[in-house]
Amino acid sequence: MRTILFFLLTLNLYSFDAVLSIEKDVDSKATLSLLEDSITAGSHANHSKLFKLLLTDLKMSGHFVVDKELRRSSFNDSLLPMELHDREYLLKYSYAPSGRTLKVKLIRVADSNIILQKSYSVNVASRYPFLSHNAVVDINHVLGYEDISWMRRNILFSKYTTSRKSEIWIADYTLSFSSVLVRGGLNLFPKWANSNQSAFYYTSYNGMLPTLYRVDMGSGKRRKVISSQGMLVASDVTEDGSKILLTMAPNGQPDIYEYSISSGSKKRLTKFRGIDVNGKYLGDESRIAFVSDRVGGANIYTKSIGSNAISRAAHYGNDNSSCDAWGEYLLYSVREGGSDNIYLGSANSSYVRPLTSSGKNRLPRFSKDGKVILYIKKNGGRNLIGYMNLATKQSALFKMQSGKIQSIDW
Amino acid sequence: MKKKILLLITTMLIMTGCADKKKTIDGGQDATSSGIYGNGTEVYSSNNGRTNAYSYGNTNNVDPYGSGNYGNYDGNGAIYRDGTYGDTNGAYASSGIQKIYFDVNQYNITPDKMPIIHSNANLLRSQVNRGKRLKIEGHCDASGSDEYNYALGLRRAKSVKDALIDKGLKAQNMLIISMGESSPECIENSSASCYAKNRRVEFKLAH
Repeated sequence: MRTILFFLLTLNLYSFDAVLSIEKDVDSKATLSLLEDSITAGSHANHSKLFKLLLTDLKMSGHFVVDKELRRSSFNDSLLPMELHDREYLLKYSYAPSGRTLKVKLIRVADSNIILQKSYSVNVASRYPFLSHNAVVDINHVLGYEDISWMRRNILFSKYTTSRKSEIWIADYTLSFSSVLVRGGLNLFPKWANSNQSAFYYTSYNGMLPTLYRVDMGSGKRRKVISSQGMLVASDVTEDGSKILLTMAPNGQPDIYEYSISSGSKKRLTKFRGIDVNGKYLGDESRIAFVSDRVGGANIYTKSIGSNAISRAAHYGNDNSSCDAWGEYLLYSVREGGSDNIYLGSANSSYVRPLTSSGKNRLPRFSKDGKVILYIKKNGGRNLIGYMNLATKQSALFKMQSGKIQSIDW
Repeated sequence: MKKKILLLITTMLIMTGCADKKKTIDGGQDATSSGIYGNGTEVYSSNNGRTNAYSYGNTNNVDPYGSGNYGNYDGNGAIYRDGTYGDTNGAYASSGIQKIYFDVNQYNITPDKMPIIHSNANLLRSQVNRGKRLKIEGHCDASGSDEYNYALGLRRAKSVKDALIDKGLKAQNMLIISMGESSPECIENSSASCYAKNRRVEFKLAH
């Protein structure tokens, strides 16, 4: 018999509150308890936060029923606590006093076999959330569950601080770690330059002309890519990182261009006297989706690169001012009544499904693997970063401490 | 891998074909229903692979950043600190120049705006045509999305520039830029009257 489990949690994880709603067939989930190493327990300020992060990550994976009680035992002790013999798995972990290293040991209770043993490190203690994210990704992998690598992606976002000022930040998906990358002036539209997140683009408004820069995350070196009158946005990057879809306006007219990194040449893809923005590659990257007001209100359209034929792609809503694409699938936000809702659609059919039903939900972004959707929820004057897992139906909201999100990528 | 994902999504779409359109998974109340992606049990089949032996060796550094000379992520590690836009790039135009306000989602110069265009053109013409650079800034309220809002602000600025050209101002001395929703005139609330003050075009004369 299938039992639907629904529970709502509010987690206090220092810099954020998380609300998780979990719904999945319990029979398909593994029961798991956490055991912290009694020798190193409490030796670093982040210990309790790490425990809560492990809980969050395991729940967000959608594959575990997790015991919320923090238990302790010797990491190297092979004896398992009697009260935990009804669990399927135990996760022993030892978080080093440095705050930079985590050792984990996944034990199958039935036969006491260690099925995963691994040690993780980060270079600075503030990035400790990635210890948990990476460990849980590996635990899912070793148990044969669907890949959840999206969990270890770095989030890149710009947020307004005061008038004409915004900063670019990097964070983990829960916002437990966050750090400023670009500060001072108006810095907008950060976009990862490649799939391994080793560089990013952003637009600086700090000269006479908006200027696109590329920043290398390894060396910290910044180089100018291109400038444009009016506005300039790196909207999307090809899978191999060789081309960028830009929204720019060299003649004051916002259109979409494809820019080649190697040659520095650009090709104008749209020609309309109104607004064409937000280009996103579709499928094999020979077509794009974009936002245009060519028939009145903002809506989503598609076209092949090299062709002038244009098709409407959003089959719901008349005020759809942002979109994202993955494969042939589209995400777009629809203004309806007093709400902004996110819809999932297809570039090839009239398929459309609502993903949110109330409130202000904007800037939807597919994860790299297309399984999870990140979006921004505006709640009063506060921004929350939300996630919807299309596969497991897990959802979560993480509150930002301050600032209004301008643009986001992951 | 990509085939697998496509199969996954296709399965989900088929599973949810008959679902109620209003059921959502955004964490709201609707999430307690069977949802738009079915009950999820078919997505992950059984417990395949749980018994695989799997072990790793030495410590794995999972941090691609934060080493070497770059990457102080401890809170003060901004890579670049730039000057503030507008501090050195121009001053607000001389007195008498009026801002031009726009309706929701609009960027055309309607007849009611022409008296202001005419007045501003008369005040600015001699300075601009003598070589002073005029920066025309388009602004938006916060109701739009990121890129579209900046484009909307730009179109407002361009419409005003075109109207000033028609009034005899030299095009080459006018620069347009969109500030999106980054510089609101009204920040008190998100009321219609407050937002109306933010949908505007402002003017700056370069030093």
